[in-house]
Amino acid sequence: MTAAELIKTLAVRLGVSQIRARALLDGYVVAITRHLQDRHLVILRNFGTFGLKQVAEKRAYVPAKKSLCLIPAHQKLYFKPSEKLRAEASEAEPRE
Amino acid sequence: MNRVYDKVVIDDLARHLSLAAPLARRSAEEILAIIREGLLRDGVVNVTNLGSFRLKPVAARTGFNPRTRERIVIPAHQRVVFSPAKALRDQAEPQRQPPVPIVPEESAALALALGVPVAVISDAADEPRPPAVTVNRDEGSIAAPENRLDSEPFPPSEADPSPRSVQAPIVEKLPAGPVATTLVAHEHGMVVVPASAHPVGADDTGSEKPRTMAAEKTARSSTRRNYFLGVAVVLLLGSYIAFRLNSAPAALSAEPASAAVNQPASPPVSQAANVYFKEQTVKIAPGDSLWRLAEKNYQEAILWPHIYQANASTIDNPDYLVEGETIIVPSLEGPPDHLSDADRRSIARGYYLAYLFYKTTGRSDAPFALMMARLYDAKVVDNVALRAGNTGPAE
Repeated sequence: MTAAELIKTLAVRLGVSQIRARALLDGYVVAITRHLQDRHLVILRNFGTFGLKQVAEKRAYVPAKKSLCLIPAHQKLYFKPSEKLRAEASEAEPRE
Repeated sequence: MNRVYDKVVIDDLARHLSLAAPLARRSAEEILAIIREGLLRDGVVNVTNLGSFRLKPVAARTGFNPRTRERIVIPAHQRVVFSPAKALRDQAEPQRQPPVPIVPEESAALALALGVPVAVISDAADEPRPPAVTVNRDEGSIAAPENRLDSEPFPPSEADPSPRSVQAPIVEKLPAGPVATTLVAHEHGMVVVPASAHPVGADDTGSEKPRTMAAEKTARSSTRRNYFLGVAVVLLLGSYIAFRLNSAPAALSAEPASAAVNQPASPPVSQAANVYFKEQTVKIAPGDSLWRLAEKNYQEAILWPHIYQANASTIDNPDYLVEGETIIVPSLEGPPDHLSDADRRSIARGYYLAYLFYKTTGRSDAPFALMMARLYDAKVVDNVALRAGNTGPAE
């Protein structure tokens, strides 16, 4: 499903125009992003959790340069699906 | 870390877009429902400025139940994978420091002088890493270990002028004792400690510590490189000195040498009596080499190509002589420090024949042989080509 299909479906379900539906979707994403910027765990019921996790520094091999490089410690965005979504996904038929 | 639930996000949506609360709540519910349905139906959903949700297949595997201690079969299934959009990563994740190349300690000073951020391989690389950050779900905060230098799990607050910067905790342990070291704080926060005065592999207590494979490899490669550089410098210097020593007498003997070229092949008795060394036939004894034969007969080992070129039909590999074979030690017209032009040409030919052999066998020092040949005779390649082939002996 593309972003356009998502907006179209949302507009049909809410009974609003697609422009309005896009504004609603963008507003929702902005609200989630602002809470992530404030280092909050965003928990969406029956969907999942957005958060930041700490990644330790590690060494990596660069094949192009044939040398090692040090990746500093940083924070990484993650999403953990809820149990309900995980169960539904595991039961879904695999797609080719 | 605070937890934010749906209600807070919906309230923010309603406030920012001036929506009624029921409409904002219904919009949020519909958005998540459409994403879930699209994901289960199509396997992938792209949300602008948020990211993409995908269903990734996981193959069946054998697991282990720690309670019953039984092997279990985990069937093949799918799991949800989220890839954040670049816009979301740029806004939500703190600014990342770029990867820093790891260089040996010898290159660290040069890198610092050039202002290049680097990390140094040291013996402290085997020290245990600081423990990972744990998430305390009950308190809703991330507890960082106290012994970590970057104890703050998140970037500093407003007090920090660069709130998005993250400290890079790469601090090498300073050796104890009166060791002259310099601690350099780079603009990116990387701390590089130059090599200590202790020998490589030795720690503060004086006992040797095993180095990491990467450190050993770089040390070996640098040692090997320095060795070859030293050998090359010595060879070049020696050949230059020998060339300079022979160039002055060669100029003086130019006329007699040119006169000798115009004479018939067999030198006259008067000239043959004045040769430095008369031609001899030698049987190769155990332990003999061209180098030793030249030193024994000419009192100058570097004239071994003179013998090699005279026996090119017998000797293939100049570094390997067959015991019991008979070879010719050709005559030398002048002493080693006053070689005649004919001697120099024959020596150059010997070096050139050695170069051809080394080249075919893929030896790395083949160019040195060619360089030595040109030192003795700059036109050695043309002179050899004029005769019968490049690999056959010259009459």
